[in-house]
Amino acid sequence: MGNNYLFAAYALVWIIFMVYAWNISRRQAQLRKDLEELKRSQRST
Amino acid sequence: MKKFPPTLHLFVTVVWMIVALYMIFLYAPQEATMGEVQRIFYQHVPAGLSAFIAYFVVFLGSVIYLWKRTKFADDLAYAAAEVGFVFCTCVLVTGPLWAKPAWGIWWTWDARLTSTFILWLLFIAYLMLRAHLINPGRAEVLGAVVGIIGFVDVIVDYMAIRWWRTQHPQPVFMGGPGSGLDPRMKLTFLVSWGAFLCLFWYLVRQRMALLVAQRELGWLRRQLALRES
Repeated sequence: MGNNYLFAAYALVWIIFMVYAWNISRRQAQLRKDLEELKRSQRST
Repeated sequence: MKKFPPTLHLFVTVVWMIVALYMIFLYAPQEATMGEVQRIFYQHVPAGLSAFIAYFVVFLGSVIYLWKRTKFADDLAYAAAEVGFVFCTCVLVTGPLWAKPAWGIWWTWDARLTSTFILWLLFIAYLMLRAHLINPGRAEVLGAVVGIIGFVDVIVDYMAIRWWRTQHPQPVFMGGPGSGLDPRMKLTFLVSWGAFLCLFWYLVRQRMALLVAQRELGWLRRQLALRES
């Protein structure tokens, strides 16, 4: 029974960290995309 | 900071985490009364101490921002608040998962648990303030005020198990007589805490880089709009 709680605690902590790391990388990707769009729009003007 | 590239920092963090996990499950002895579930301690306490450090960084960044108005201090406070919120969430998740088999209940409103819950709410308040106030300069100043006032809760939270009798266990480090850990448990705890701090700092660096890049992009957009008008 104790092992279930132990597994749940470790699994949840790593899920929380993974979700946050994914969230940061998604925001970085969005930023890169915005920058590329800005560059493209500048080239076309 | 620039001498320690982010990729190397990530690599060190991952290796350190693997070593910590090895020590938690294969090196540290099993605790006599609680058994396997005690191993939650090696994530719960380092996450809690990292959350305290995160709020201390928020406090420090806020004071420096109000004093010198440096953008770096504000970015540091903002990034530490976001990462600290993640660590504090881990504390509130792992705590009840240890409490249920140890105490027979998931939660109780004792001084330590309540002040930790307030700390979590403070992180949320700070982040909501920063996300929803759009007046230039106002979000930074109000955020700094929350960052400074909220630090009182960190002191109360840290001292709660020393000042009052709580359901939460008494401190194992710097506690009273009879406190302390088996040397192998102590080493495992220190390695695990080091890994958490390394991860904390890596995430803060990433978040700060994102804040700087977002601000630069906003500035570029404004310059282009001005040029076009």
